[in-house]
Amino acid sequence: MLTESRFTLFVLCLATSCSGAVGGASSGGDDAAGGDGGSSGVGGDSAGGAVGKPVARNPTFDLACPAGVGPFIGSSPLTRLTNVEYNNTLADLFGPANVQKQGLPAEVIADGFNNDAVAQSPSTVLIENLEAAPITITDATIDKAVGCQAASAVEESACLDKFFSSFAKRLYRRPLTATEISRYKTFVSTLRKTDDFASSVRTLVRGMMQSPQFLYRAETGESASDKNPIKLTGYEVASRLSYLLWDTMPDADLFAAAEAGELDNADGIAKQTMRLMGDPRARGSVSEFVRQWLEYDRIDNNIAKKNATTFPKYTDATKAALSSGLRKFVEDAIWSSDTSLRDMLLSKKAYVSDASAFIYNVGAPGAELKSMAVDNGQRAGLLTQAGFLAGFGHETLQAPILRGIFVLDRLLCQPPPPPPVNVNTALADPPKGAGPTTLRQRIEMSHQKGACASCHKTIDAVGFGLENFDAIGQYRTIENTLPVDARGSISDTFDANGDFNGAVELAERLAKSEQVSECVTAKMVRYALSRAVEPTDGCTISSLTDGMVQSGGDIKSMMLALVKGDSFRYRAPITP
Amino acid sequence: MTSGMTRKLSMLGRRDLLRAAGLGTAATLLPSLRRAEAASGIPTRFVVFYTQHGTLPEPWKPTGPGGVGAASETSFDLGELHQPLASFKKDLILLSGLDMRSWADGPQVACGHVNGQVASLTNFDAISKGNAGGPSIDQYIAAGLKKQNGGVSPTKLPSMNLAAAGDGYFGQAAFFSGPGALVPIESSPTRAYQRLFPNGTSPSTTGPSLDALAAARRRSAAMDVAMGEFAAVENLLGKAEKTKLEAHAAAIKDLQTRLSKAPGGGGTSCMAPTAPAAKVGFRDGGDAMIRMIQAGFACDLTRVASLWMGSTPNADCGYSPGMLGTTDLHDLVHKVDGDMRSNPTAVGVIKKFHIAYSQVFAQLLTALKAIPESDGSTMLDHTVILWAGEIAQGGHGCANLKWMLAGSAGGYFKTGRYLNWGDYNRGEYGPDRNGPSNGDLFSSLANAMGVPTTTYGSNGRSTGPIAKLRG
Repeated sequence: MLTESRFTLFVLCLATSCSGAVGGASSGGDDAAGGDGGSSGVGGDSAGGAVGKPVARNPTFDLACPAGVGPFIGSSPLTRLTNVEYNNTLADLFGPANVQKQGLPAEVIADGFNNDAVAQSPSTVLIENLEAAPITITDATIDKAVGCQAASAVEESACLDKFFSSFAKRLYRRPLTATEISRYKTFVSTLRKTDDFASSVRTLVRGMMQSPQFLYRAETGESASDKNPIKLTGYEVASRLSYLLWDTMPDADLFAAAEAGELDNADGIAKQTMRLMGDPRARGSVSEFVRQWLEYDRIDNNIAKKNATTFPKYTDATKAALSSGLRKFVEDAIWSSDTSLRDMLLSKKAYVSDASAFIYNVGAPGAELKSMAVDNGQRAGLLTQAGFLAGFGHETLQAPILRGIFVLDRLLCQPPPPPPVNVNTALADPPKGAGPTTLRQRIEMSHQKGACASCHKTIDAVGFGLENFDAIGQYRTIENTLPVDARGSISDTFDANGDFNGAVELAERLAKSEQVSECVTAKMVRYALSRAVEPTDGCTISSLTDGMVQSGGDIKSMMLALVKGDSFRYRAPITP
Repeated sequence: MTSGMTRKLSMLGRRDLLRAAGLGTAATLLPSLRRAEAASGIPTRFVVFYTQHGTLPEPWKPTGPGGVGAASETSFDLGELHQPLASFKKDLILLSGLDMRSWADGPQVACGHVNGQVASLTNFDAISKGNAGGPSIDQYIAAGLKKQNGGVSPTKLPSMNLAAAGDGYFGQAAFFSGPGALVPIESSPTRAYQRLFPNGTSPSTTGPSLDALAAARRRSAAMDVAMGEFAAVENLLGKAEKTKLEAHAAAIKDLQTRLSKAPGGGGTSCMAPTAPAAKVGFRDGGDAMIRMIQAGFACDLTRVASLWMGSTPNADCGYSPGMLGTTDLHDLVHKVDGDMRSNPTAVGVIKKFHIAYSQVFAQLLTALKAIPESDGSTMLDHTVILWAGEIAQGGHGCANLKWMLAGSAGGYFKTGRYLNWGDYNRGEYGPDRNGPSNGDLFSSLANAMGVPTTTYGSNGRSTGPIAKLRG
């Protein structure tokens, strides 16, 4: 069980204003995509907070945190439940044994994430699926969920009242309004002319399951006509917490906390958050964020495809060990009491089993994955995990360009622009009779000229740092009879610039960078708010990043501070 | 439940269908199918056949008759990549030199797989990477058919967007119903089947039972509840949220209307195929999905479909990872457009890759040709199939496309021709404005489908239908 004392290291400056120098002119960075970049930073002095420090720690971010009294928050687009959230919610409502997993069409991926509210659109197939899903839940299951039967008009009325105050409340994740109750009573009485009572209520339930109150998280806040940010109701906060931390609807405790007004203040939210984060479901839910942030789908896809001739020891068991080993490693870095983002980038450990021991060149630890030291001065953290390296490796060859882009995009939040017009992306072949070459040499030959040079100078220089690792993550110093050159450099960043030699030095450079801490924070803010980061998120992101920097990258604490903060407790004014 | 026709065919071959339809002799083409269609009420159908990685320009090109000399518009033999289509030569229009104008003139920086996917079927400038600024031609036609039919889709399903395999190197963002509104692609034959034939049977000819009617009434009532809630919630929220909710409510209304219609009909060829095994993949998935398109059209459950082919399995073209120093087939595709263009082994593999697509395309045409229509023609004659993709060739360019139409859309298009607006100039990856835009082609296709359209795509990216397609 987590305790709040563990989080006290985390210093917040949410209530104070931070100074507003803005990093760069571009709003076209990864996280700003979709935002208008309409607001610009406010320069000048600040009454408190980190005086003199720029708000953004990324030259491509456009973030502002004005002086004065907040809350300063960005937009609040209407969010529909993701497929995972929808299925988990059905399971909670009706019991996991009584529902079948609905195969809804895959969400649109925006900026790497599947929960972007702006990207959601009601495709024909989705609407058909959402209409059909309630029919797959049996009559008996719905009857049981409704929880009462009626043999007379009086009993019907009592049963309906019970339904409204219990199951219907769970369905809408808040108490029904008087208007809604009245509308549903009328609806049932109309249906009763042709159908029996139980059937009429079932039709009502199936209709409510297609309604926006169920499918969306519609937030009207406490006073909808406000011109300023609107404080969310306790029930709305309960849903935000539950879907962020458990990927499902609020449980009975959260409902009770909302009803008792305990979610109207940061302390009450903290208390519930500690409880939710102490439950195994939080690991599953956060791993859904991590899956998207660290591109596990791409990683698994590439782990699965290796050349058996080149890598004869690489079996199906190896694939599973690499995929699970990476997940367990990252999960530890987030959840273990003494670990952090810093450990994620620097740790000398890996989860290894008999099937993957040959990659790490360690003794066979057994059939099950076991956390063990894999140091030898060769490896450090995430970027040297065999799962990561094989995931960013092709069938026979390593993938320095993809590795470089990953670091720039997912760890530094400074992705390179896409290739320009008029490029042939095929790598040049070595000149005839030139003898053996390394992949690095061939890439350098192809990228030194023309339009490629400007971007690939940056991308390749980062990716080359991992050249000691082949397509499945084995360390080597010779490639194709030639010595491996793993020298690289980072440039044009806020604070990570400089030369390095090999993976360990690259990792150390990243672990020290505040831009990396800010990047992880910005990704989490994006995920938690289901939308692209906007300039007005500056106050939120800068204070959360301060906490990340001071705690050495305590992601749990950053999440706690996020949900206690204004951006999670307020919504934007409603403009008709 | 219903007492509809429950006969199933495991193989929908032409002979089987002719027998089923009571036709003993081969159907013959009528001289003017268009007029016949107007009289017979045979619907016109549209299919997009979508493949990856462009093509190989030289073996794509037709040759002069007998392989001698240059091809002319009407006198040619199909090129090496299209030999599996030889028996369909008179049904084809080969199109060489179209440009994705929204890419060529638009604000996007590079074409390539992702941007090309977005531009290929829309001709709308992207609103962001991976998000088209307007509908793809299939969805535009489906929406147009609905509008022409008084706001109600003429078929149970407005369109079926299918995939032979779930894979795709760069996502599957080619089909859009509007700006940024991605249309999901179904890669499970089982689910595609269930959507077409929820009860596992062909649409009833005797009408639904009382139980079915009651169930349908309750489904409709449930949708009424939901739509009432949308109206209520919309008023509490802001403009952007209201727009989103209105689109959702409209989609429910559309579904309610479609479900209230008699489900499909079609002619005597309407039969539910055997429920497919849960196989996917280039061959099995392609085969299963072609049956879905065939049955969906035959039962008039939809008139618009797409088939996303994904990548051929390596074994189909003799590729193995690492071959010739390449990382994967996609890598080799690019190299064959670059430094390996003279490497016979590399070119041979990529030829086989494209020939495999031709084989599946031929399978699709065969399936449509196997369905007789009431006027003595075949379903292929009343369909137009567009074979398109996300780039022109291995070099990531989106100009000088080599695409193809098959079927005349009921005599609207003059088939059996090779239209060449210009050849690809090797080494030039930039925009090339020899030919019409893909939007001009879409204008023609929309008109062929009975959806009047002057230009297609972002402003200025299309000049109008391609007259030459008609003769």
